[in-house]
Amino acid sequence: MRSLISFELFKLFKRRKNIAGIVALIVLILIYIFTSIGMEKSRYATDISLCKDDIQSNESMIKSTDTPKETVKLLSKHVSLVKTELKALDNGDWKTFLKAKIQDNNNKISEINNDSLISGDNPDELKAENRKYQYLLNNNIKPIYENCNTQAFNFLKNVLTDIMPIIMLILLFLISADIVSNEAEGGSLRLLLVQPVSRSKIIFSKFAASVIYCFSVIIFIFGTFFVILGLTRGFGSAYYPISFNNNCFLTFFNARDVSVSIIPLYAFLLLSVPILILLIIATVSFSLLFSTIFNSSATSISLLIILTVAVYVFLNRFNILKPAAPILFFLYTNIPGLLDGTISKSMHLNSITYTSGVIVFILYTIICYATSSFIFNKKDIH
Amino acid sequence: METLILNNISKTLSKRQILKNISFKMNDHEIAGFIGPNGAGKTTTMKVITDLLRPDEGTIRICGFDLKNQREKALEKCSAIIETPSLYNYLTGKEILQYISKIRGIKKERVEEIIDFTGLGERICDKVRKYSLGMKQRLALGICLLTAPALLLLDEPTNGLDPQGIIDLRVMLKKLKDQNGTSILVSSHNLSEIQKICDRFIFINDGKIISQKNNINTNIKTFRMEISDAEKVNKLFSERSDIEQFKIHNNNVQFSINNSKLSELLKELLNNNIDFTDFEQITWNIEQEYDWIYNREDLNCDH
Repeated sequence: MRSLISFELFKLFKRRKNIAGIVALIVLILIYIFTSIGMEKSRYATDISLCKDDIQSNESMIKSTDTPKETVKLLSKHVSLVKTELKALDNGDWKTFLKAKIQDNNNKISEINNDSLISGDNPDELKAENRKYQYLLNNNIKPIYENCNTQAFNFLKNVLTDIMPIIMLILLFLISADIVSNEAEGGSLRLLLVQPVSRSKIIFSKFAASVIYCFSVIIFIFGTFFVILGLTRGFGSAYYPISFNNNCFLTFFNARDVSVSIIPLYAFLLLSVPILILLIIATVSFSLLFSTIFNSSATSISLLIILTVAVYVFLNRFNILKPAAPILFFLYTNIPGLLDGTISKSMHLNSITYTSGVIVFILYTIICYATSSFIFNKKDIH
Repeated sequence: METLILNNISKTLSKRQILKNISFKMNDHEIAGFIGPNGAGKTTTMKVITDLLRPDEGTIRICGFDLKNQREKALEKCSAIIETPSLYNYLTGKEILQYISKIRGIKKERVEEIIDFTGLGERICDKVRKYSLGMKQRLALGICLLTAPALLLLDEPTNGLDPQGIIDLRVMLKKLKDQNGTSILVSSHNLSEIQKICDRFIFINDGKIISQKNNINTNIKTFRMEISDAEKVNKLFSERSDIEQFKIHNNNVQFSINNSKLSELLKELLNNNIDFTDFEQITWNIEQEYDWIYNREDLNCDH
């Protein structure tokens, strides 16, 4: 069995198509990084201009004779704090900035509670925001724009969000969706099948080699970027506070509304690892099924990619697939979204949780692998 | 010892029955030519023997091991090249040999011997995509010979081989048969070549084994003559059990008979008032046999 797996791994490492796929993923990640750097700069500029707009609009309200005196008092306090924030932003004094933010949020919370301010802000969200700011202050961690910061630790979290999961999925399909069909099409499968090895061992070796290869590729790419970004843009803090859905460990059957708390970034990343491994195994298993059914690599790969893109489009734009959403493994590919609850919030489905993802990945792996193995064992090889 | 037993093998592909109750046996120290026109079922039979295709009916035993229930043990005794060798184009010849030898648990020294045997020299370290068909054929043969198989199946092994390659192959197959006792089933359209190496011929057409014949049978001779009454001859020959096979075309008859029975047959023709002229013995060769067996549409009758 070991020699079979090492042969399959060797073939995967030697195939040009796989190398091209890896290079394409590296290029896309580079594009993602440069876009993120651009976004980070524009976010800073936007924050400055938002502060200025905030000050300007509130000062005009203060000057207005129609504004009641009590409101003027509240607005003045707010303007003073925003001015402090602006000054701190300009000077890079993040501690003063956070203190002013906390004070401003506390004011808003008490004013909302006293009904002296009508605001669109949610007091619970403001409290959660303050907890995060206080955590940053207590642990002496500089705040970052989490969604676009490219420091090494934060990059590891972000690279699994947005468009990146679908790109990663496509690479995994590219690697493993023709592992049987390519050989069936080219005829080399005959060479392997006339050897005195059971077909079950052959299909398992292909599956195991694909999983090892895909996992190695992902580790290699993410690891390389982690080191390069760490050395060039800093590693950032592994203790950075990250929003976390306390109910993410519930399943389909006892799911509850998202309840946000914070956990350190390293814990968030550690939680991502097991489900990432399961995601890779499930994806390979799913690809293996297509590869076993179809005798043409082009058909198996393109069908999988079309299916993936179609499911993403239908899930995000239309509601057609929504009833089936909890059992579609594509939905669980945004791992950070599972941990912080943003997926279940955006889909309005509490059952899309981390644990549901684990269950779905395991079920997909078992069903797809068992079906592939059955088909491969019965298949006529022409 | 029987190395291969096919018993009533049938196989249907895409609703078309490709093999129809095929049965034959092979013994050790035997090279058999598997002959038939395109689409007759030769490659399908070989694929069924190597378990690439699963038969709908029938059983296959290789060196006593049932292919269905003892697949690995049966395939351990067997090596095969089916159709044009399709190897891994992105690997080198040496890499393929090394990995297949690891899968089969063969020692490294044997790989070096086989590299020498292939005659590929330094080209063994080139990617297979750079090989000619003949080089691929040599490499595929090398893979087959990594072990000393009890049963060797070769589907069109001379395709793409240069004259020296064909001579080497012939020598190697005879050596395998004599020294190792290997049973070799060779399918080829190169009839003259196949006649040089085979002890026996198995003829297949439309998924059925239609004839099996030893290469040299000194007792059975083939004759041709012009006859005066084709109908009478057809009736007479059909009734005689000692006539191996015959065909009548216009007033010409060609037949095979045990040499000792010839004079008796000629007397019977004369007794039945059948005149014959241009009587001649035909030297047997495989091409003639092929023509005899397969080109029957020109015949008035056959037996």
